[in-house]
Amino acid sequence: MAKKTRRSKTPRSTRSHAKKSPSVIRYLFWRVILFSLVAVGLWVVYLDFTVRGKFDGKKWAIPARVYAQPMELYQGLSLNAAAFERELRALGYDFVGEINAPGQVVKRGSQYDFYSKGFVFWDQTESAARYRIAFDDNKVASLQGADDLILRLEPQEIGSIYPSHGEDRVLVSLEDVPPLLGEALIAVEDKNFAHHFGVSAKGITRAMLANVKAGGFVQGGSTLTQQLVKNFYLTQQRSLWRKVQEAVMSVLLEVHYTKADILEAYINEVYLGQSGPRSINGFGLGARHYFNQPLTNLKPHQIALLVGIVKGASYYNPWRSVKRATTRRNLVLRVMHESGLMTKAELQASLKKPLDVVSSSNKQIGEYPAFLDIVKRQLQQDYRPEDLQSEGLRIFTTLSPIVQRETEQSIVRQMRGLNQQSKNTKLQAAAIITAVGSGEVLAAVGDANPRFSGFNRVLDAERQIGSLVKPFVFLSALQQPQKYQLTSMLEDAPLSVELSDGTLWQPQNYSKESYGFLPLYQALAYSYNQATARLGLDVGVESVIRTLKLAGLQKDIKPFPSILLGAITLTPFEVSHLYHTLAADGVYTPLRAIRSVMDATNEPLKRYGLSSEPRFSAEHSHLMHYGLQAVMRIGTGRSVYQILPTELALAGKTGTTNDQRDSWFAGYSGDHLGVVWVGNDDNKPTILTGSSGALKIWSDIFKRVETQSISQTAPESIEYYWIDQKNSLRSAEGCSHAQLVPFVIGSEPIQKTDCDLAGGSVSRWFKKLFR
Amino acid sequence: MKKANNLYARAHLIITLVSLLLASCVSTTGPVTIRDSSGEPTYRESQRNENGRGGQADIAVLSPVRPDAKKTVVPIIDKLVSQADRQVVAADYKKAINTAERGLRINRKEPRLYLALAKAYRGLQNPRQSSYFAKQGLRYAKKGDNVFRQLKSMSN
Repeated sequence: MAKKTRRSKTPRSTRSHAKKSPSVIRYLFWRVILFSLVAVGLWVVYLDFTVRGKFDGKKWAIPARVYAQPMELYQGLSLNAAAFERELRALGYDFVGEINAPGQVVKRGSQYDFYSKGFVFWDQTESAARYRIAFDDNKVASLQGADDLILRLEPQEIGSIYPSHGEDRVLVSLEDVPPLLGEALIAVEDKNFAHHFGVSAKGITRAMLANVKAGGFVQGGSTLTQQLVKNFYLTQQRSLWRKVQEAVMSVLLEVHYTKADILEAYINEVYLGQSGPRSINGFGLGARHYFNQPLTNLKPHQIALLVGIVKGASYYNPWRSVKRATTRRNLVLRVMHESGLMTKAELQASLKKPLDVVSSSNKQIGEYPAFLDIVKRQLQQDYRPEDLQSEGLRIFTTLSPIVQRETEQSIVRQMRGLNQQSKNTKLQAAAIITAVGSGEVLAAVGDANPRFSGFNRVLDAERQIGSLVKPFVFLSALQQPQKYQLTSMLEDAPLSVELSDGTLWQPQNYSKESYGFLPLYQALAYSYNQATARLGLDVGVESVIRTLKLAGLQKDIKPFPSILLGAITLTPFEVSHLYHTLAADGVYTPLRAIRSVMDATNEPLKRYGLSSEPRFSAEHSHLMHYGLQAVMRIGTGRSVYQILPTELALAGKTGTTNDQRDSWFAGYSGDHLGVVWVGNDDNKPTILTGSSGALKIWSDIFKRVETQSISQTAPESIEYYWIDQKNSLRSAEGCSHAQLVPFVIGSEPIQKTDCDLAGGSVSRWFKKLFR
Repeated sequence: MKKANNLYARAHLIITLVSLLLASCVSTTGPVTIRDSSGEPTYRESQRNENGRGGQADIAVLSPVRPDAKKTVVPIIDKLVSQADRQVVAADYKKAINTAERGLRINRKEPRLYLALAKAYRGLQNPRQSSYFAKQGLRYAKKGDNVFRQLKSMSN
């Protein structure tokens, strides 16, 4: 029975399966369809979420923009017309016959009429306005139009701090975009933009027809929306799946946002070129990169080039292939004309124009790697790297484009000679120039090739400083005026010091000779090691270290006697700190490369103000100025006056380390401090001394930079006396070997010496008397 | 006759002056104080040995030169001082600091700007920096004048 039942059931079951089969398939089919629809729906929801999430939120990481110090103009400023003109050109001003708009200049001899562009500074907004400036005798003779006390030109943009993926952009809103740009973009890239819903079959057809008609590829099949989706959300991978994704997302974008939103995003997103590791994105930055102009200032032929570049930034690179870029631009111009965006006459005029891109050597952004490195490291103390790369901060720095330019050129020029002289092409160099008093870093070069962005020797090359330490040994002594004066007789003779490990320290002079007794200031001027070591041991190594710390030395050093001759490793930046304190009359000021930081909405975030602390007395600083001027007048730095005018009072010190591995010079005028290092990265010996290497570069820089003498005005507590240099006793003007020397009041010698009249002095007195 | 007398008187005066001068040259002088910028000495190399290494036997001489120092008068400084002072009075200390720093970039030895900074930092409750700027200003202020006195009182 059971068997029967089973038998009877089996055929029924088979029949039932056979019967149900289509419905199961149908069922399964609908299930699959349903699942697919659900999956597609979920996928679309996911895409929708993605599209809106990114578009509604912060679309881009906006790099911090870094600016040089603005040129400040006022009557009486020492500035020549050529430097002013160079600044205007660097800022992208147009030299025209008649002024009609911001950014234009008319030159008439040494007088300039110009229409400033206006700029939002950290403390106030400078509006665009007309000015007239006249130069006479390398000075601003008059400045008309400036209501404020000082006219500030807009600062040069010198770089940006962008994310590791390298994308850099300057955001622009649609109101700031010239209408012609948007229209030209639509005419060339997507004629049907206003009417489609993200994808356009009509557009594809139209593009094909346009391409055939133009005899070349002038339109792509993708709409602007699709291009935006591809660049903004997807990868550059070409596959059917990505194309489908792109289409769906384009439609979603069109559903949620207006055409204006999409166009604005496109204008800011599009890739327009490459500058080293930096990717130029968006028309805002593109305009600056190619023309050094804000987008609003572009002329039709420039707009056409930018629009043309969209198709292939590398292929149509106007610096690499002028012909190709011109052909492409002209094609775009014709499309613009055919679309009614320009008249025939305008077309003809635009076709005749050159590309007008900035010269490749004049591309400013990214020019100053060593300086920007200093800026970044100082910023890192206050900001997270991700904020610097994404929050659109505006960073106002202390860089002086004029001083930076001269420093770079001097290094290139002088290193050529030094390489030849040394028969060594691997010689390296670093230089840093600071403003005396404010401690602002004006220029920094970290490599013999100033544009090379690699190892920054200004900040990272720790080298022995050699004789650069000597002023601090002498300053330690001069702080004991009852014991040491500038004319104190020092003995330059061999010495031997037993160190704690039993070894002997026996310093020698560079010449291997000894010079006997001589005044303290001459021992400094001629950089005698033995006299310095004896002096340093007498005042105490600890005392010298204390002086170095007061001058700004941050690191700890052990009190070995060899420190007295510069066995300390410091970077040029650290040396600048020490010497700045000397140059600024004994006042310590932390060096700074930043003045102010603003956020993307122009709200001030932080001001890096001047801070200073008097560390050495005015009178001791005055004595050091004297000693370091002697270096330049009679000592190891005297070759400077073969290049610079003798009326210019300068102070400084050469430094040469063992086996001439390092050539240093640190010196200052009344306004500028410069520290220069030359040597080999692998620490191999050179044939250079401080005088024959670094000083040459330093002299060349100071020859070209507008700078003032060190003030000789003595503090109240200083008196000058005539001193006989042979015996350091009181003498008188006109006597042989008489020398005017400053003393802290009460420390001058009492004893007088006999006077041998020196020839010519009487007539000099007469001249002065009857003048 | 009168002319001859005059000539004689002049010659006598010159001889007397020469004698006095020679006498002053052979006797040692008192201190030579140089303070104002119009009388600033700079030093010119008048003698040096070949290799730049002197010594007792061959001492290089620095001769004083009193150049016709053209004192650079920049009227903008006075305006900036006034502006900074006004900002201090209005308790707009940050702006006053900004103005004073702009001025110091033009002339870093202007004591009135240090005074403005000292006042502004005091206003910002930063007595330490206020005192430092006052001390720095004292280095460039004329002893006894009003600015000196104010800086002196703020330097402690």
